[in-house]
Amino acid sequence: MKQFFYLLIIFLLFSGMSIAQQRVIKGVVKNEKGNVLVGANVMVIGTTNGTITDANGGFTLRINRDDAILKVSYLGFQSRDVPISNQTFLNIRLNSNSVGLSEVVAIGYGSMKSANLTNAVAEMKMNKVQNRPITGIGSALEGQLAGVRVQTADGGLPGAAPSITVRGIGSINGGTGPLYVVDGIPLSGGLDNISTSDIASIEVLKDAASAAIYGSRGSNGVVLITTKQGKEGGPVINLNVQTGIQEVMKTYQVMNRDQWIKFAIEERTNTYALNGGNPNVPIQDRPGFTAIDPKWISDPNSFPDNNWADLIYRKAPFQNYHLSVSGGSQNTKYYFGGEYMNQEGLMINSGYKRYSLIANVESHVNKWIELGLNLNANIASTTNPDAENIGGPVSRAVFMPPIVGIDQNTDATGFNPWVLSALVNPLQWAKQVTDPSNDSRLLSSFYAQVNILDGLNFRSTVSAGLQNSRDNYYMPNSINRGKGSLADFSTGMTVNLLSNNIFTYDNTFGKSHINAIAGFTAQKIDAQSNYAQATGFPNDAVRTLNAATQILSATSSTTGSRLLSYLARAIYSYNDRYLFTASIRRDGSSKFGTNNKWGWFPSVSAGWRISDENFMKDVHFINNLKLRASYGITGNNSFPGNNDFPSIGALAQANYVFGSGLGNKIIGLRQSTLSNPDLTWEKDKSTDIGLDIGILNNRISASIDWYDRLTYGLLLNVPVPQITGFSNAYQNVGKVDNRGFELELDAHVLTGRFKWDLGGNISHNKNTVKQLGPGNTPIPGVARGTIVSLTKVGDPIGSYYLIPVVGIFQTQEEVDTSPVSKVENPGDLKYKDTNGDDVINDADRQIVGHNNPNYIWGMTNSFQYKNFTLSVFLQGVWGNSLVSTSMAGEGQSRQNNLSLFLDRWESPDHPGNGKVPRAAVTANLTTASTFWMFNASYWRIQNISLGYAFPDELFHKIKGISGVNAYLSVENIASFDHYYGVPETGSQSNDPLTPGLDALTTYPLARTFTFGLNLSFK
Amino acid sequence: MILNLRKMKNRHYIILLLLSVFASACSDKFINFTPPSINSAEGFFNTKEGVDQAVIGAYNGLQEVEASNFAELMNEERSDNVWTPSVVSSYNDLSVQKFLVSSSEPFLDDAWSDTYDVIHRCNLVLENIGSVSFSDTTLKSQYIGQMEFIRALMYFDLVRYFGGVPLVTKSVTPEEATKIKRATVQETYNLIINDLKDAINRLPKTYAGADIGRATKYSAEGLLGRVYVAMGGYPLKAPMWSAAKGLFEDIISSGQFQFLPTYAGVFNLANENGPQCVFYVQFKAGANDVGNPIPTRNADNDVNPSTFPFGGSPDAPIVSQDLIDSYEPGDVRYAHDIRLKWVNKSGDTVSNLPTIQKFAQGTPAKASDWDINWPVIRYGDVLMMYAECLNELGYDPNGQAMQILNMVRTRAGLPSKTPAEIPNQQAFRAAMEEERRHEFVGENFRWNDLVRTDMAFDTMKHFLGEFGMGNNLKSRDQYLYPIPLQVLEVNPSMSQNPGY
Repeated sequence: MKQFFYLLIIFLLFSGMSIAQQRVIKGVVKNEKGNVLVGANVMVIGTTNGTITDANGGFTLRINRDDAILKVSYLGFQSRDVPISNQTFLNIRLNSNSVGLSEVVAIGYGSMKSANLTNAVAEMKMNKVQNRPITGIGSALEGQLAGVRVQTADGGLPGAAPSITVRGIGSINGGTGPLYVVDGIPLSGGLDNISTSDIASIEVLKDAASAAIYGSRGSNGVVLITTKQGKEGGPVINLNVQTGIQEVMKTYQVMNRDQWIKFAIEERTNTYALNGGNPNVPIQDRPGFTAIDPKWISDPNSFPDNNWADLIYRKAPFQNYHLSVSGGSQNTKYYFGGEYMNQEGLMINSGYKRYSLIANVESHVNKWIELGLNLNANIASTTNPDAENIGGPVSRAVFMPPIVGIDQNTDATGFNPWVLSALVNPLQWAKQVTDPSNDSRLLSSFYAQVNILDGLNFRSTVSAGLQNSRDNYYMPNSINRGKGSLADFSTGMTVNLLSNNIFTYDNTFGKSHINAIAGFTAQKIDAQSNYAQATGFPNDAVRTLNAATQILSATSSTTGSRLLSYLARAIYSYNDRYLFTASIRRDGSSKFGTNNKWGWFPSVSAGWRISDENFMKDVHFINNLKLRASYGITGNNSFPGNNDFPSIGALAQANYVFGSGLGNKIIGLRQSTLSNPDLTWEKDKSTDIGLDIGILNNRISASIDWYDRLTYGLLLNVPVPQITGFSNAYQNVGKVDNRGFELELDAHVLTGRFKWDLGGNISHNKNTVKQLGPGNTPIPGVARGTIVSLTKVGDPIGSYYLIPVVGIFQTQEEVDTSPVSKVENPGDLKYKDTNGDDVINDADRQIVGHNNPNYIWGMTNSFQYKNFTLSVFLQGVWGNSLVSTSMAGEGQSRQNNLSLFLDRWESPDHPGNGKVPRAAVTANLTTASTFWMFNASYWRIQNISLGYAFPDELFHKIKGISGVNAYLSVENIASFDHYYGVPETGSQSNDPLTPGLDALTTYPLARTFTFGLNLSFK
Repeated sequence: MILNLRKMKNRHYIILLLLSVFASACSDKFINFTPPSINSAEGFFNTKEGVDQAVIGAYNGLQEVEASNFAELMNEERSDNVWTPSVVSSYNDLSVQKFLVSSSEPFLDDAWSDTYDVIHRCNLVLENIGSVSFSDTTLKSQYIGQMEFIRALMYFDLVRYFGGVPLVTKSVTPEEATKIKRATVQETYNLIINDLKDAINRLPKTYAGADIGRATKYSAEGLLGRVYVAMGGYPLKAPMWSAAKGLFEDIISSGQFQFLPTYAGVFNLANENGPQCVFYVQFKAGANDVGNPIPTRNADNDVNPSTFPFGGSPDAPIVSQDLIDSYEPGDVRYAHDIRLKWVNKSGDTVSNLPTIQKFAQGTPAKASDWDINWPVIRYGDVLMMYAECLNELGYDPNGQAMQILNMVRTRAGLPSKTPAEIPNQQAFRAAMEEERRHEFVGENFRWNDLVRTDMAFDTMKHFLGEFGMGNNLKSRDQYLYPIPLQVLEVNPSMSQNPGY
């Protein structure tokens, strides 16, 4: 690494130098109509040598080589590379490039010019993330696309995929994530582990009209991932090396020893008094956890002051190497890529490693036949000492008091008698619990395309996807608090077979252009899972089940689904001005009830490019103006718990014992779910109206979308009257509406030598439940044994349903004259008697917040001067809340607590900040109240990166090297929020019914410092 | 065959070939995919084998309902037998003990829905069995009787927890269920009585071999007797003493049962399904999912696993000082039933947090997995209820009632009571109640005994008063629990109990 820095410095010094044989070249730059272009960029390729055209469109440049090539660019026009050879004056014409007219986007079963889009399709520019230490596609999307919410609910847990929602949450119990399609293959589960470096583009189909071509799987949006293909020429070899170091950016703040001791003495004294204890009993003789160690008072410094977070978290390296080779002839093109990524986790013994390989080959065998093969294999292995377990190290680093010894509180080392024995030492846990897991995936597809007539072809694709996962969990007896060593072993295998058969017709008749597809597809998914649990290991050396003496359980199960579909779509445009698209899909699925196996999914949309109309001719500053409108119906076939057979009333074992003496076990059965042959997919009908606008030759371009997405026939696990024998049953009832707007903006604020590009997006979404089960009965969400949320008509899904806190009781008089819930004293939380009945109880609960942000935004500013690029990426959400269930504080000083308790009420003279109650174990706190709720809005300086492109002239003598870029990047620089942990948390539950619940178990976020180097060879 | 790909004709053949291959896959058959790992309920209850297993499934429900977390909370921990100081390592709010129960507490929902789940299991058998052909019609009739017995036991639990409840005797759809209102307490008892009367006619006196443990005629008689005794007390105060007396006499005169000579023998694993058993819920350790969880539940969470295998639970009820103080010297049940001292994880002996240990017999196969069966009706209770009936029908200083009371006391190592000590009917009631407290500690009897004798209000007021919480008990409305919040929210036809 050191050597590289020396090289870098040397190159920088040399870069300013010029080499002899200079001469002058002049020229003029004009548009296709012959008008001069003022301020166009003229650069000698591979150098920092360049200029800008003057008021007459002219330029003068000194050059030192006749084989130099000029790159001429101007906003809104297609750039041109112009060889100089021996000329002295160049007359250069640029063709206009309104809205990247030639840019093509994937739309599912085909592609089209983005300029002619009539739907809401968002396109992710992969170059925006190339200098960032991105470990997965999900995190690459965060903050980049309007209407796409990426929530890293597991904080910085290595290998954890964030949850992604498009245009709000459209399902309560079914899946809420989009369908992922890689190179035309719909995946059977979540995101694939494909390297982001191998991805050419990501498009998100946001409205129902664009997603309807995916029918019963389209309603949560569709993410189309296209991997890189080779281009004619080459071979081009690209090596990308990233290396970095991660540190904890944000984790929970807790009390230190002295703060805890003061807190503990106060709490135990208060709790003792609250339970009617006699104050004359010596403090150490008081019962249970009201006893106080006299040494806390006499000699507090004799106790350890362990900061458990410091003990279990570390600075951890990150590295990523990616190599690709691509190229091809006129008939055959290839792209090969390989990546190795190694991310050690912030917590000791955690980490994520991934190997991936990709090979894409396509060949025109002859004039009629085209063949192609895509192979993508990756192996991801994760190690994680069960960090986010409710009793695991993240949580226990918060709860373990600082006075507990570094080895204490395991079964082997004994428990500190002054703290809760349920708390297991987080350091020992992180060291001793192991959970290596492995996820191997192979996605392969082969296609044959027959070009039947001009403009008509038929492509048949067969694809096989394999996913294999393995997980071996082990908890030593010592960490399991003497309940025996425990090992879990699970494996899973999914096979995803697909046949796609599509006719495509594409032709132009005069001013009309038509693109049409028709075809059918069949997809077959089979999955098997195995699980075994065992105990009785002689020691902790061998942790696989062969060493166990007792199998506690062993099971396997098989599931799967079948999907048969017919689809058709027609795109028609007249004069590139009037644009129409219509599509239809018919899906038959094995998942649905016998009465509802088949469904139709139609869509229509239209666009009008107003800027091309004659009456707009004189409006010069607007170069593009397009109005779009779309309507479509899609479905969601992802049932709760990935249940492939939800309509079937299932039987479950219900065993008993008969026979004399101790008896024998007899197998019995009970019906465990209600059957419902009418059960079917959730339906989504959505309308989108959009406006695309380009101003000043696209110096500013923007897209504005307004949408209304109504999901109906929601697959609700409706609470049914328990007298049926069931508490819940799935029914297609309920409606939820997501309505909002999105704005994407791109501005070239400064052009010329100092460039400033600004890209930003902001989206607003309002989620409203419109209808629920029988009688619109609200659905409560339970956590920690109490209701915390309520899903009811008129409010967002999973709204927090808590009793408002109005403050802290300051005096006994205030307690005596106020309505109380249980037993309350001065210093306790004062609840609001919202219904005015002078009693505090469940009837005083109110909808007080929700976890859906009102606004999500992201903004990238990038600056370029000469060969330097500086990019600053900010992102955030605004207007949502979270619930931290640990605020119930049942344990108080039996454990440690968040540092917010330092601002507690101590006495009327020391009332704290007026928000935090006194220290005491009391039922007052366990009431689910707004004391548990926090503002979850945040914004973050997500990334700053500085890149340098080495001038070609430094390397043109070194054979083969065609480009060198180096960059420094810092991820997660600073977070601005209102929570004592990670605000996008959801580690306890991120179920739509109980969203955003934190139990102080969220893995910390990492701040990553990265150095990267990108080398290209020719 | 070599295809000349340059010829248009051949290209068309290829396409036709490809199409025909895929079209053959495109039929409804492709999507009619049956679940490989799911056992479907479709048609299951219409076969004899299905009914056999469904009956076992209903018995399985008894394990979840009778020896459960909520049953101990609502029947034992509600009473003066238990007081868990809030300083022990329990996360329980213990609102049950403090009489601060609110309708949103999850255990209420468990009690309601788990009990109705078992009722539904019985209903599925009862409504389908008619059309299933059995070569053994006696067996068919016995199955009906067994389901009626279990259903009656479930409604008897419900009526004492919640008062009158919706009466469901066949499977209903969610829509139908929302229209079913609560019945009165009397109507609920009528259903229980009808079920049990029919069951008595259908059930055999004994079972042999692999069927031992199923409900017998005497199980049903014992339960009906207990129902009548309960009806004689609060709230109905409908004297059914003679009817109860007749039922108990039928059991006693059968000669099938025995009042075991030692108290410890009642709980000895060697006597599982022995002559003291009128009806027990069956458990077995080491068989994966049919073990008794209660002994683990009753041990403190901090108990050392080396002295108590696999440790205890955070839900363990702590025996109240009031119960400790109530034992007479020499009562063998005191040491047998109460774990006065135990070793914690730090190796220290804890003597100020006594727990219940009477069911901790033998060794568990894992935590919450014990062999011991759970007594629903044991013979001692039949005798003691019989004695109560006799006393209610007329005090007799030297009668059978007095003999039974003293039989129980003698076995417990206590001196007999004399007519001078129990001079009248009222005194006998009190003595019997006190004896029941010690005979059945931990068996989920105490709270219901206090309620039916209407002693609960004064007893618990005094008991709570010792902790400064006397005012938490406001009225006899708290004899019942609130209808769970979730039940009210799902069903508009439901109404809350007074006082909640």
